[in-house]
Amino acid sequence: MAYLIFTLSLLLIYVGLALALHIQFGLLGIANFGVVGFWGLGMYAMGVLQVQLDMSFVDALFLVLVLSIAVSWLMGWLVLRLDPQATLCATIAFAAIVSLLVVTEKWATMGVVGLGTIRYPFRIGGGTEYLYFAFLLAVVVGLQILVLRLHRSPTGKLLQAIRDNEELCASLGKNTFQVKMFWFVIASVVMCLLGALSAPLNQFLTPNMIVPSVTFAVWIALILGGKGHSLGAVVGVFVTFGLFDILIETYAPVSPELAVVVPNMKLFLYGLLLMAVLIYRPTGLLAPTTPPEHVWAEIRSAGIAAGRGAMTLFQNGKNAIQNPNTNQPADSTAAQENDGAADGKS
Amino acid sequence: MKLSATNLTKSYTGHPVLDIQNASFGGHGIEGLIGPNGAGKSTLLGCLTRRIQATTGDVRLDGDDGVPTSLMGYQSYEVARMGLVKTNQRIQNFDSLTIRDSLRMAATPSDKQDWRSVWTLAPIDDALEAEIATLLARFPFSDPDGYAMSGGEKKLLDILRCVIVKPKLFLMDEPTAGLPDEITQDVMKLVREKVDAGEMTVMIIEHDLDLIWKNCSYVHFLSEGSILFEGKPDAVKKNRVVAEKYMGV
Repeated sequence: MAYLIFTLSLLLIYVGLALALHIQFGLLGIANFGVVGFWGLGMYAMGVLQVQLDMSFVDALFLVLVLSIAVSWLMGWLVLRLDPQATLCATIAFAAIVSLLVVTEKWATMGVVGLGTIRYPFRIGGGTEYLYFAFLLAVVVGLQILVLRLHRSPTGKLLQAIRDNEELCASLGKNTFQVKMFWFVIASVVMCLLGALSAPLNQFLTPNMIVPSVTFAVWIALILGGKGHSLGAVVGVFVTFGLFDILIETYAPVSPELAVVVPNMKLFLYGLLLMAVLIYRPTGLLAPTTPPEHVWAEIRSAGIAAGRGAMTLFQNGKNAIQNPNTNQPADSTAAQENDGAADGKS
Repeated sequence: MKLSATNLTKSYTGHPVLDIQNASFGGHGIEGLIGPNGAGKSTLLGCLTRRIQATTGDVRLDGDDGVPTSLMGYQSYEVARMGLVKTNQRIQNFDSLTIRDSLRMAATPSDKQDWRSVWTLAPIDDALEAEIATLLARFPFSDPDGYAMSGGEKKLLDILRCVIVKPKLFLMDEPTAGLPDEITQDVMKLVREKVDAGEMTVMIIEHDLDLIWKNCSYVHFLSEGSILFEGKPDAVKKNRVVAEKYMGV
């Protein structure tokens, strides 16, 4: 069970990273191939501050925030004027620099020996991991809400316009560089902070955590799920990481001989799935459309109607328990409530 | 709004394509800019709107207070905010925005479009929304809440997107290319209304000379990167240089 909670927490981190990448690539078209660089930077900064400098979780998180804003802004200033291929190379190089620094700067990171132990920010006996999972869940849900609202807001439309045709957008009086910079920094800082939050999860940090396969896993998840769709990141991570790393690796009844093959099979199946999606559904599993306003309204009123229905059922049940002999009043209120619900739906 | 260019040149790898000694644009209601292919018309418009970095020279904007401002220190989006907006010769579009969203996106002022709008989800104000609706009702889009599909729709949308940002000097690069004739007439009617209302002045690049003679009150003739002649349409029609270099008489 402890292992499941650990992998589920890791899954949330991946969802968060994919959401941040969705803002950068899905909405703005910035090909950031240095996801693991930002994530690793945040994670190791957290580790160094907590272990070497004995800082508290909150102080360290604040310093990571400051550091990540500075680094993301510098990266944005360097790469956002470049064409997409150059941006891609520059961000890969950034990730390589981070992973090299982690190995070479032994005075801070302990190099290949590894850095530990990073404690949870709180400790409540056996429930710590669960509470931390709930905390991560809240963070990721918050991020998803941000992305959903971003899609519906005027800013979201502007970001899509910049992705489609930046020069045209500038010719209409939009400061495209500033907008790109702002959201690139926000998304990169989110990646760094998710790294910082991964540090207590991993407890012991080693340089082999900062490998390009993290970047690729996030990218594959986003492309599979649908890079332009607000829910593509979540769906993609569940289909890749959730399906393979959690369901198959942990729960599939596999004999010990086969168990060695599973991780390689996983990469193979990732690749196969990615190829199939790119050939048969290039937009990803979810096509890049936002539900129009009236769909939201329908979802909302259906939710309200369902809520009212549940309330009525609950009331009926309560009444039935309290007065087992008189069913009449309960029925009439139920009828009224149902009318109300029908009104709400229409 | 008036724009003057002095000693404006542009060369690509040493090869000069534009050399304007002294010219001013936007002082005559609707102006035309004509010239053979490769004369440098689009390059001139690019230099005026700061999309293309001129090699030497200066472009000055006469503000409402009569004080000229050099545009050389500004970026293209700043020039657009000052009121200098250009439509595109080749089809340009935002493929993932619907026609209405595209107009909304262009019309929304930048302070209503920043990160705060994620929390407020602020809809565009009613006046602008009504203006967009009027514009869309006036032109025959197959579905204003769908995407621009045909080349003609994209070209028309490109022009309307520029109109909705309320330019003061409106530069139109070949508005008839790719547009059906009757829609071009409607566009010119709309432009004429805006000019008569004093909202903007216009400069049109066009090969369709009928449109030029019919709409423009002043015409610049550009050839081999320089303005060889300019004046009233009748004078330009009769000019020998224009006839030789362009109309092939």
